[in-house]
Amino acid sequence: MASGKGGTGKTFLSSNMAIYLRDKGGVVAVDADVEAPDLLLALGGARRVLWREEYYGAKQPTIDYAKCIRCWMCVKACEFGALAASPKGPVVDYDRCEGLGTCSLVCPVNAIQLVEAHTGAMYAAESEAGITVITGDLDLGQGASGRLVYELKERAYELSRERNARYRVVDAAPGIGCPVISSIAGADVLIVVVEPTPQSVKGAKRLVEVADMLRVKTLAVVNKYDLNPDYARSIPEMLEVEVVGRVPYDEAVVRSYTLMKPLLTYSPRSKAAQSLLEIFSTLGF
Amino acid sequence: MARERPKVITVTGGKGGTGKTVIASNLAALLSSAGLRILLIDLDVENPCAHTLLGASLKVVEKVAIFKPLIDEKACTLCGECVSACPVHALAIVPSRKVLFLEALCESCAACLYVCPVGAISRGERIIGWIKEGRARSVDIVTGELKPGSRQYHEVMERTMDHARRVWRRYDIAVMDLPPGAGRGVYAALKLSDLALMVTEPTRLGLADLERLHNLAGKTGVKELVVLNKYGLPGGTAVSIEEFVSRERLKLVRVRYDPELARAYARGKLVVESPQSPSAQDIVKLMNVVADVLGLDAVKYM
Repeated sequence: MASGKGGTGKTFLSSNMAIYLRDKGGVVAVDADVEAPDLLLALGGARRVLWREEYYGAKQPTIDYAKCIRCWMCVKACEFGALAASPKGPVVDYDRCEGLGTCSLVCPVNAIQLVEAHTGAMYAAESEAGITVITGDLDLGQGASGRLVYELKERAYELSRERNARYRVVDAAPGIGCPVISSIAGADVLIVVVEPTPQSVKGAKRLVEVADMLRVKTLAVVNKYDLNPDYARSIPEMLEVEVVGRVPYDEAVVRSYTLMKPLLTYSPRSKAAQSLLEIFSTLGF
Repeated sequence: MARERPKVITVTGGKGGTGKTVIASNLAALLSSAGLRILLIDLDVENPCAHTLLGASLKVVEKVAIFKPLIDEKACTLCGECVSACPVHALAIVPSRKVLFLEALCESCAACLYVCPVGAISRGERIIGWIKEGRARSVDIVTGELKPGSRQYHEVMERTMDHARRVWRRYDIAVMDLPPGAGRGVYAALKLSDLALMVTEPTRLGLADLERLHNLAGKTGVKELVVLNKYGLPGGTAVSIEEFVSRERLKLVRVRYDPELARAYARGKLVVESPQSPSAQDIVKLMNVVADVLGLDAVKYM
């Protein structure tokens, strides 16, 4: 589940799809929006944490100033401008460092060592709504989220095999960058969640372009279509993607979030819930 | 003495779709009509939209390129040094006796360039995005855009900030419109800022992401102002956000839920063009609070 623009309803679709799939062969849900993970909350919060694993996703250069001869080879070799000269020797800007180690490689006196650094955590939890959710939680201000997403998907694969769960639902980050590419690579189907606004369609088009490069089958769901029905009707043409369904704007959706209960549990007869059920059955689960 | 930099306002908000771009572009237009020189920096490089609301067209002023190796097959001795130096396995020697470069895996560290003993690798470039500029309503716009299929969104954000910093002394205020999230690019932007407008919405998820962002902002010393957008959203809950704000002693400005704002947004327009609408009035109030926090006395006549 992805969208080029944020806030179009990825987590809404993902959480409810997980509820639906729970009774259709089992599901493991993955929150791959590691900079702002909310899927577990949308599914009622954690009832029980199954496991937690710290994630060391970056290598950080540390400089031995006693060995350093101030040749500045490392400063010149860094492609990311993460090393600067100073009187005591090179200084690392860890916020720009990619941890790839070219500095260490070019240092003629072996004064730079790479040390593994904590960049986040992964944990699996049983949600109040009875769904197993694997969440990635990137440390604040960190990068390298794509690698964390691959790790999450691997854990989800193992867990779904263990439990004979037939489906895995991955709730991606907004956008089209590194974590999104990792989220959709290898998926059986990508569902693009789009709203009838030019900004959302623009983001969705960029996402579809990426999905085509990755050769992932892509379908779209139009959320809150009735906010601009005419524009919503032209979305299949603009995106050149099959639209499998439309969800109307419904206050029940907002309330379901306030109460932290997925819509299909909280208000299965609401018009938004009815259209979700239609979409999920169209998808052939 | 000439000023080194403008006052920098960052518009952020951990969750997507809370209204960052709406607030940033409307605020930029208002500040500009109050007579200030405004630079709007769109850092939502994965889907930049601020210029569409202001009605600006953009042109490319800089491409964002990163390193990729160019391999001279004639000079290559197949020694394998580059293959073992590559930390992400983007180079391999294939049975047809050549070095294969897998661009999709390359992280542009240039290790291969330094280890090749015969100089068979030279510096090539891979375009991962563009920096664009435009102008509308007396607001100058700098936009970073990630090329679809490229992963390096932080790099494009950082280069866009670098570009903006080279020109921003000409302005009174720089407004940075950020992507959702609380990652490295957001952190870098917060560190450059005088004031962070943390735009949230009255939902449980809005609160969760606001908390994360507040923790990140706390590491930088930037001033924080919470903008509770869509205030009064039917079915929503503002209470927990209000409690959070008072517990953390933050300043709060509410922007009312307003179908007029949604309509303006869907048409790609600014809501401050409809000055009677509740949300436009609230954004004017927001501007006054911002002016107060930053000590911009000139703005207050509005």
